[in-house]
Amino acid sequence: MTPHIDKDNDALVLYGQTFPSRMLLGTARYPSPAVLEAAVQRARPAMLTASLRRETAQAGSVGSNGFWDLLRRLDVPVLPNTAGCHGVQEVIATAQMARELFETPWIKLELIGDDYTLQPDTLNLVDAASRLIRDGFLVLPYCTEDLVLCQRLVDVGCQAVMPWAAPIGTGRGPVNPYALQLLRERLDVPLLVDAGLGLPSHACQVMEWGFDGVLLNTAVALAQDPVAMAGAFADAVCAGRAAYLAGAMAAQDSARPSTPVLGTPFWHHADTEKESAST
Amino acid sequence: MTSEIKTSLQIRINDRLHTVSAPAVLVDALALAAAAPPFAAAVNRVFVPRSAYRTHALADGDRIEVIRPVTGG
Repeated sequence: MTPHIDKDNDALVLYGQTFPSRMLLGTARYPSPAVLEAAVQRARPAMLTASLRRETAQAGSVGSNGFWDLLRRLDVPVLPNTAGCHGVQEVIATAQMARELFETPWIKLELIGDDYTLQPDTLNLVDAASRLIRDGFLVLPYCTEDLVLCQRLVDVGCQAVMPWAAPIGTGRGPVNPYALQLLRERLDVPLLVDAGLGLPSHACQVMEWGFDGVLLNTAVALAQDPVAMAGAFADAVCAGRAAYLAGAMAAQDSARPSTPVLGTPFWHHADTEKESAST
Repeated sequence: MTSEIKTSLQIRINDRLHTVSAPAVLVDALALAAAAPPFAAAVNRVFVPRSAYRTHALADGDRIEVIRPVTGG
């Protein structure tokens, strides 16, 4: 059951735009378009990510025209990405093509620096973000959990940043909890954890830490039942957010009984039993 | 010294080599690729807006990207 959250007073706000959900969902790697559609209907995400590829290089399991029709039918805001770009000029051109094609200023900035880990190119990411923002894009940069990098992205105008939990598609969950929590503590802009989440508990965990949302794809798409998993993640995001708003207790080093000690039945009887046994 | 006037251009569309009659504009290349909406285009890694397809002159060796929406994460 989804925990109660007053969504009117706790909506995700990105670049001044309000979203009814704190979960963003990718559209790739689903077993079929029908499963993707059902997963989206189940999760009702804030945005759906999409990409651009040459006509001869279909990357997804959903055909291009079919996918286009599906996107229109779902009526969920589209967040195009610049996946696969390795240079700033590639990013700029891809983003501009996406803006024309999807008719949206939103862009998930991906600038890959290492093909093995798909780690963002942290040395050029800020420049790419800066140029996109000057060109009128609403940039959601996929980045590492590096505090200074995230701060620089904010400095050039990013009104939200999206640090990874772990490399894309690994499903390992947050591999650097300390850095992610520190990031949350230091930055005031919306933070969305993007990539590396494998379980609803991972999503719940980062939401409990105060992150504003999550973006995931593979964990849902490759589940044995993607539709059910989409729902599980949606519920986990709500649960984590509710827990964050509720304010968690501080962890303690020593045990303290939760049941009152005063009036415990058979108080001191244990000692009597020991004495009886020894006589 | 006389400059050579080319009667055809060698271009690449999505990495495939094509020959078009000169002069040519981007819309000629898109027709060659049988591009049908929805798509967007770039020439030499620079985005070309839809409004410029009929005016963007092609040069020999141009590399044209014609892309379509696909699933993504």
